[in-house]
Amino acid sequence: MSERQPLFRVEAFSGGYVDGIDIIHDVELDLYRDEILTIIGPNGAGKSTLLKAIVGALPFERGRRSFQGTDVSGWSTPRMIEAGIGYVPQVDNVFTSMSIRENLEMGGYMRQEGLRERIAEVLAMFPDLESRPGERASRLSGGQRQMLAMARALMLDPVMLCLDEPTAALSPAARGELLGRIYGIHMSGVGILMVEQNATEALVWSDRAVVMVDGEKVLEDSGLEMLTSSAVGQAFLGQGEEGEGFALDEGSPP
Amino acid sequence: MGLTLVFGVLGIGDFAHGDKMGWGMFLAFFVVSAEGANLGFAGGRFGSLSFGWGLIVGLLVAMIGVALISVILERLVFRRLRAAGGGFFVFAIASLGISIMLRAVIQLIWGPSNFRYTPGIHPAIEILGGIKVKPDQFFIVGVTILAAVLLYWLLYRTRFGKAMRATADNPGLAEASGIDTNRIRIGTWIIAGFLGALAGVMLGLQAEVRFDAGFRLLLPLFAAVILGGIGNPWGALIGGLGVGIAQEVSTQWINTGLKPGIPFVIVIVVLLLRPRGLFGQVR
Repeated sequence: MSERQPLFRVEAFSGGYVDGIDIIHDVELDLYRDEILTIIGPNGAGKSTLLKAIVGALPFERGRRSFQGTDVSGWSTPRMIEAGIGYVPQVDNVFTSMSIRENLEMGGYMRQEGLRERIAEVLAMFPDLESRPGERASRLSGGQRQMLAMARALMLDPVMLCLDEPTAALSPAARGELLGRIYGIHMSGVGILMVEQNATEALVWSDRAVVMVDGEKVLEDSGLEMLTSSAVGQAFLGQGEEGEGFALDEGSPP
Repeated sequence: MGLTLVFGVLGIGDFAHGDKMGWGMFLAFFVVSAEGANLGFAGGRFGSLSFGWGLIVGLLVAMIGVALISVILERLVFRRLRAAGGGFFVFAIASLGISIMLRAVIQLIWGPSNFRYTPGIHPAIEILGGIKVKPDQFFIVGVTILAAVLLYWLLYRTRFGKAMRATADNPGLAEASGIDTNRIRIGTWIIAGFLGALAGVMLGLQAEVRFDAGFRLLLPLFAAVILGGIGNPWGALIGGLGVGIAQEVSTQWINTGLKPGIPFVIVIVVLLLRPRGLFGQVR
């Protein structure tokens, strides 16, 4: 991957919510359009914070962010989203009092034209949502809400999708279905950057993964290597002997 | 409806809403009174109604005026308080201050007397079963229903209205979706101003034009909004009807002088039994 231009590049990045207190320390990260990159790590490692920084929602930052070769350091979130980066926060990621269709309309608020067509296209990717576009988001299950949140983020045809713990609080079956959908979105030509706690399942679908600890990137490798490496398994995936290292996916089956 | 809209979208319990109604009432009065007559507005009547084009022009002037007052107050007061991190109570107290100020200015200009849009007696006509209704009251009911339908259409059928609902639901996500929430706030104040002025003029038409008429209606107004479910315009309309009917019917059993206490009772009962109101959503 030496010659390809990354879709998104983070260089010498540090930052946090309060001036002078960095949560992220000197992180380098590249995302390519033809991959799913997953950031894993223990609670409080700064994974979600890094994702917020990438979409321009972190108040204090140093370093450089570039998107498709353009320096986007200092861009606001709406500007990043308009430029083609979809972002799905971990919580409060849908308008609960509005219908599925209205949520998609709001996702496509900045679209100048083709709103109807795009809604139809996006709904077609999520059969669960397509069957009842008038349903209020508050009536959806956790998994369906996550799908709606992703569908919303897809309304502006992003080339890159940032997902903050999409499978958190979902049942194993719903997790599997959601990850399958994410893979489907990826295959339609969208680079995926996600933060995950349910690390083992996410790594199965990931081309590449980054391990973060205490705001620093400590490891970067292919998803398969991470899964099979006994060191990573013991330290981050809860494999090996009971009580060793720290388990990330306590909720998932062995 | 204006009150519930401002609460739903902006999170402000606007105690000045009653006095904005008062301003609407008096701006229209200015147009239909002698001052307005000099400008060539007043005079004329529609059929058996008590008013003519003068009041319609007055209504338009009132709507624009009150919307303008609301926008100026947003810029001057609420935007600054918001930027300073002010919350619900800060907004509420500020609006209480604005309420007193607005009322005082009305009193300064027009004094404490009562006025009518059209002096004289306006006889009621008898409809089905001996119920007597003034022709003006048909107009008031019609205009209110029209306003409710238009508001519904705005909130549920237009891009701007949906963005208003999105901002009310989840301001952070709305902003991240590219919705200019500042514009939404201004738009909400304008619409609430239109509705407040409309309510004020209708109140002046039905009762009398008086500097504290809007303020006196503030408590029943809040009761109506709470009964209907805070933030829900239809709820506000139904709640308004409910509070009004309860107040009038109550005089069958209790002293008329106790009538103003009915909204209190309604608020307490609703908050005890169904805190989200009749049509409110669980948050």
